[in-house]
Amino acid sequence: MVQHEGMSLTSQGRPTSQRRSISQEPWRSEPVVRRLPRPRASRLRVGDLTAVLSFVAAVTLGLWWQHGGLSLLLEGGVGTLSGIGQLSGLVAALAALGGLVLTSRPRWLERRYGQDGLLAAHRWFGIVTVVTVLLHAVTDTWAWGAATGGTIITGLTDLLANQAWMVAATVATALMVVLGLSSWRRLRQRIPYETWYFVHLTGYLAVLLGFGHQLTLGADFATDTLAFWWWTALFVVTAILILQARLGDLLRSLSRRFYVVAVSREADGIGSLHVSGPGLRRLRVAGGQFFNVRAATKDLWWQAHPFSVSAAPTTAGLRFTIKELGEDSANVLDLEPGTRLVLEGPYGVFTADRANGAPVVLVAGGVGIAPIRALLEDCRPEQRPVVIVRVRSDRELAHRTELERMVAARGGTLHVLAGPRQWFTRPDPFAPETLRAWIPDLRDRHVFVCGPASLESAVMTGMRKAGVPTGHIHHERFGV
Amino acid sequence: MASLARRLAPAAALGGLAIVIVGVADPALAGHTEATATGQAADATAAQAAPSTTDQSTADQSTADQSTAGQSTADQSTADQSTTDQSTTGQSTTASCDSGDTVTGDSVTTRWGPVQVAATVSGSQVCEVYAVDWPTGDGRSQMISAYAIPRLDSSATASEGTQIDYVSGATYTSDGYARSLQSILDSL
Repeated sequence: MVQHEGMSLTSQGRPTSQRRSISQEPWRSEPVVRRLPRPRASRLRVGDLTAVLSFVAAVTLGLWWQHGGLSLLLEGGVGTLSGIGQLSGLVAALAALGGLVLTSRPRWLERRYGQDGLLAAHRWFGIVTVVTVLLHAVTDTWAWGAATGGTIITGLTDLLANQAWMVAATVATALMVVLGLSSWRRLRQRIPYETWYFVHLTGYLAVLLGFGHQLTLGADFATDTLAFWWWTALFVVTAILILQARLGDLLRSLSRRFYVVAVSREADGIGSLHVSGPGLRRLRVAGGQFFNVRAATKDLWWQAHPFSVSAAPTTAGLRFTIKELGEDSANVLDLEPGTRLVLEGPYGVFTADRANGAPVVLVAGGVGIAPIRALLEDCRPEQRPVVIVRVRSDRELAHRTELERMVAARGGTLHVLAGPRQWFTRPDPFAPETLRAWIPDLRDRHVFVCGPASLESAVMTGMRKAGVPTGHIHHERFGV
Repeated sequence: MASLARRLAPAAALGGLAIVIVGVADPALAGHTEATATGQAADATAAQAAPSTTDQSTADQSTADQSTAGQSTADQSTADQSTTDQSTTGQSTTASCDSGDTVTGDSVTTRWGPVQVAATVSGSQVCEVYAVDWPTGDGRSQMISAYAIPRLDSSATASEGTQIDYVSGATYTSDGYARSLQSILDSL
């Protein structure tokens, strides 16, 4: 079944250049188009991660306790202030390292939690880091000032003038505050993505600058070789994990060669990018996953776009379906065939295997049709897929014939909700009773949603109220 | 490319500024004399604390180092000034102290490290009191000692060993100092 779909894809989306090469060699038998293998399942168990995190927390707190941190904390007055400073400093350091590991998206974590899960966790780690760093800075400077018979101001001037790595630590604090503010959603929306991204990279510098004063001043380091080695080991392991993940991804994506083979229009404002090349050979992809795509041209190489695979990936190539959002996406759809692409990924856990073979409901809004279309292709007839597509008008519906054919082949149903939003306010198509009436066996199904945030939240609320367990509702944010 | 430069500029400015500030102003990198002096002074006294007979001029020297070491803020340099004043007064009023003996007190272990005091005595008169060992285990202790020890020295010397001014924020060190000094007074 799957192979058959792959074949039909080639007849629709195959680039003419490759066709020609085949027809020029008629003595060759038609090459067999095979589906690319799916990614291996993650072997990481939740318990493993909990064990590692508890171990790190236990050793760190144990060292702190052994250095008299607890009695200092309970001492009252300056001691308590100092204790709070120590504890918040330790939490800040751990959270910063954890945040870096998360954002490096190591494969073994990504396969389990997905890029969006890791980045959501990174966001929380970042918030904890900024808050605890500020708490640490204020309480410890205050305690220092009080311990030397002055105020928080004299404490600060003392530290800056006389203590090694304290200027660095202060600069690191300022950097972290800037990063935190620039990532605040309201500000973030006003900043071009790449500007924000490059600024965010200075977070590495902030963590490095903050490390020095931990070793020279930290009560938990300076006097205890065990603590010194523990923290040095934490930093080294973090560095290795980041290098392995980021450098590995970079080298892998650079060594795989991909080219644009064709660009096609699918609907109003939606187009497809057909990609092929020798890089396909060692690729493992599932429908619903996405790549960060870079065009290796003079103007565009520094921008990476998260694009979803919109058809089962085969040895013939990948197809990405893209919305023309800003001028950048439009540029991508203007690429000439033969342009080299750099594909980083695949990322994402928005894949059909999440349903464990149970029946599914697939809901797509707008260009969210891309991963849903690929997911549908990975579904089996036993899963009787119910596909709901929400678009503003028929002209914005991409891949309609493919959807109809695939739904029919699997004995499923396709609902297209096309029209302006006010057509669908009453009755609300995603109200629990409507959903239950439409899909009688809804409670036994897994739900996959991809679309604008408003649609996703409406669907998720409706499904939950209609009795679908939260763990059976899957959605994913692409990109950062 | 122009748009890349525009997107990169804020990050480059931020990172560059951070590195320049640290490079210029951080004692660890800028080779500030204060930072290195603290280390040397602490080393010198540690080496000196081992033999109990010490040469007073060296001790003076190291105390002076120590007091200049950690202190560069305005209010502290005045304190530094007063230390010198008081020790000069101490020396000028007691002429017999020129030929004094050096007595070293007990080393008292405090929560942050050992404190040990030495004194030059002439007969039963205490001419000058100075610390020969103090907590240097970590940066915080060094900092607190650098601030507290000169004050304890000058108050003890000015009162000829009869009283010291407890330094707030350095209670443990002050307490250790008092007990070590007491052991000297007991031995006279």
